[in-house]
Amino acid sequence: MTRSEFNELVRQHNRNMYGYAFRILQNQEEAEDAVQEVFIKLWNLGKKIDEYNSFGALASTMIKNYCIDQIRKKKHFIQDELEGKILPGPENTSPFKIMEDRETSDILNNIIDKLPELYRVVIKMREIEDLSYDEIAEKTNQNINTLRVTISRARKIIRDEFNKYHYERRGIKEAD
Amino acid sequence: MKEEELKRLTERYYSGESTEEEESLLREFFREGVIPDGYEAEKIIFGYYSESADIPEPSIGFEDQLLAGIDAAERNRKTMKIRKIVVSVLSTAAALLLLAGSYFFFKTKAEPSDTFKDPVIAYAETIKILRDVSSMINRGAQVLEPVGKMNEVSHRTFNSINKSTRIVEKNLKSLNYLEKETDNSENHVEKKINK
Repeated sequence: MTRSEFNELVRQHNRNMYGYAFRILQNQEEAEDAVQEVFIKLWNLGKKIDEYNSFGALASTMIKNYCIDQIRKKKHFIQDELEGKILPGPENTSPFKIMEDRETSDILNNIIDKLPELYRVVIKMREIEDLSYDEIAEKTNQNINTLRVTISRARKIIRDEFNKYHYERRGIKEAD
Repeated sequence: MKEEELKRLTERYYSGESTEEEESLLREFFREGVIPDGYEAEKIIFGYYSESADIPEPSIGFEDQLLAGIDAAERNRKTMKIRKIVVSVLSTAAALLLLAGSYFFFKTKAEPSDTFKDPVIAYAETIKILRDVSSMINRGAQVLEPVGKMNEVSHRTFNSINKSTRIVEKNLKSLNYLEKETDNSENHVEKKINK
């Protein structure tokens, strides 16, 4: 992979990766650093990178692992600071809980990433950026009725895919 | 929110017919309300949207910073690579030099060569060196002469002490004889008196 091809992947995936990192680390600066580190690691993979089918899947796995490592390190650091006095933290800060929450986020990230581009764009505008239907219609050059059909389809896909992954995962856990 | 109302709003949401206000109500409900069975997926999905909305924008120029960071790491990697090559080349050169040096050193040592080609000169040089050695030994012996004298004096002293000891021994023997004689005469006198 040439450097310009890699730069193109950086442009395509950096915002998603930043989102993954922020969800885990809950800190802008640390999330940006994490994305930087992971892109450097990816570039250092050199030719091996071509062996992976999906750059996005590889990048999201790497950013997730990197961020969880950072949280573990931070926890150790806090414990060291307290001279070995380990205080029970809130349940939602445990790496296990974070990992479980992140798996759910990962599923939704993946589902939204795989949507057709127009579906993805309108869902982000409406559900995340909270733009009005009129604004979205204007930005995407669609009439309101077409936009509503598009959004309806996108919402149903997200729900159905999520249920598929979610219940599959629950089934596996219950089987364990 | 009542379950019937929730069902109606959710259906409108999925069919794309809900108003912005109705969608706000749903968001609010799934964020805070206790959800009835069958709406777990919606709770997670709405939670995900809400969480995503809270993610701050990355710093201005974030993308450029990423690319610059990769450039810097790449330069660093190349420098390290060059350094590694230089170090390995220098190490190999040093090892070769050491090997060559050792080879020549031991080779020169293993094959002694004649110092002089003419045996007459060699003989003369040997004699000269032996003379030098001899004169040095003599000089050393001269330095040791006082030690020899001291030895002689102590020897003489021991001899005179021996002589004195012998004289004392002789005198002691005479004294012993006298003592015996005295004892005999005393006995004789005692016998006469008794008689």
